[in-house]
Amino acid sequence: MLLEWSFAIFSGLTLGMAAFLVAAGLTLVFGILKILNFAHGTFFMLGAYVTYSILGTESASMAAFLLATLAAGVVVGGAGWATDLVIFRRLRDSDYHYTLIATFALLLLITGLVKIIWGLDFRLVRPPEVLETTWFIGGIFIPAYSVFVIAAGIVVFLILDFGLQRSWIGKTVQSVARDPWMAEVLGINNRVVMTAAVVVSFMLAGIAGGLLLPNQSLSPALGDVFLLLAFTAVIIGGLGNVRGAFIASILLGLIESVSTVLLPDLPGISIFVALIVFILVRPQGIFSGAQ
Amino acid sequence: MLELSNIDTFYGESHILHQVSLAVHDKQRVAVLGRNGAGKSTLLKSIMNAGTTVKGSVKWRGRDVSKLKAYQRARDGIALVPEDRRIYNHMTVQENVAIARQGVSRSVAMTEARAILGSIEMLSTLGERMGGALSGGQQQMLAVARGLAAKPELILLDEPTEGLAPVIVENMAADIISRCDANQIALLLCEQNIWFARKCTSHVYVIDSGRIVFDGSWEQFAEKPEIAERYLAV
Repeated sequence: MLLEWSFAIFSGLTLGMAAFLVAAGLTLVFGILKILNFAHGTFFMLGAYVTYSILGTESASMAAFLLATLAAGVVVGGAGWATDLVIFRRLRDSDYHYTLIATFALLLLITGLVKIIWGLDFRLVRPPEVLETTWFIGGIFIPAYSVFVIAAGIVVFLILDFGLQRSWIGKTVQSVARDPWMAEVLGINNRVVMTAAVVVSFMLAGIAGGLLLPNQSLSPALGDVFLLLAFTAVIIGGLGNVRGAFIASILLGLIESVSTVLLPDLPGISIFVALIVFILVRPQGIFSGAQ
Repeated sequence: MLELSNIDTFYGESHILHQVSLAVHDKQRVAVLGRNGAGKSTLLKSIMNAGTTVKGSVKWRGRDVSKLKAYQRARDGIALVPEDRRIYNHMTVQENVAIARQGVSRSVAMTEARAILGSIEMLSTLGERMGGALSGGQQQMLAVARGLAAKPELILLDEPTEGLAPVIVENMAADIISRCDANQIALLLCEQNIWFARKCTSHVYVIDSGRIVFDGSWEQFAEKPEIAERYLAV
């Protein structure tokens, strides 16, 4: 029983960190531009496909895997720049409904393009050689790849949190997010800051796609799988709050994982219950307001 | 230095300023008096191109800047201190000042911010305090300090005395005059406090319902008491 719980907690942490990797960019762009990007999951998927196109399905070296993931981040970041230029920039002063519709249209467009380029087939991509190992520690099997995902989630969180809270650039970005009018009057070029935020957000989606690729069945539906979890984490964490998204992702991962032990006949329902409970009890999220 | 010629300003469909012309010369200190809603804040926003739609000519140092955005005008030497202060709560007092200094490294901006804060008695020991933790008077001084940190050639002050204790207002007047003189900064001050405006400036405009209704020296203003009675009396 203890082993079962230990494994559930470890799996929950892995799932939570995977969700955070996707949620990070989503909450970042909401925090700064107040845009809820419905298409975020498809750019995550695009990152996975780009990584797959570079690596193929066989195990690659760790260096090749990380470089391919970085390349995916750059490609998807470029797509973010184009998205900002064509869509977000035009809608910055519009009602949020227009942005929701526009990003939903973008979701359909990117999904369609992915189907045209890579087809509808499911593909399985093996992790890098060094991450194919499984360790047997304290009576439970721990896949090296899961440890890698947890570590990647923590590293991304620390970089984002430090970048936003401690660095001068982060404080400037926060100033634009909190009071764009004053920021502009102080001589800050808001457009550049916002475009940079979109590019970083999309890069995070692309990098998440690359990092999580070996764990998934790669198909045009990949984006949907994590988008729901990421959206839930962003809502529970407090819209636009990176720390909130991090904590909420861990919570959701643990809730989902533990519920498979407690309620094996009702898979997947616990996350929706958690979302409903949070919306009823604390609609502003764990941390209210953008970070 | 700054020359507005027949500008009309709009918020969406609302027409706020009507054919306003105004000039501020090099190092000159100018006041704009008017009641609440007369168009004073809109005038300053129009000069900065901050949230308004402006038709007409705005010239800065002889150059038409109508197409320049607010951040470009700020970098070009115009600083606006808004009425509602808009201090950043996520930053310390020192960072709030430093962020206004564009085009230099962070360390230079912070050093300059420390120097400015050190010269303001009310803020000299508060550099590490968060911006949101200051009193109203302290926040107002911080907003002025932030405006000065940009090293502007023209500073636009929007009702800096609002909500401040009389003793603070008196000190602020002396402080603004000495800083503008020392740094050769021109001043455009929008105020309802006639005493303060007169103390700080040499030329005065009166604005009412979005139109300039008086333009002259303080002596000329004093010669026409009906102007104050008609356009400034509460």
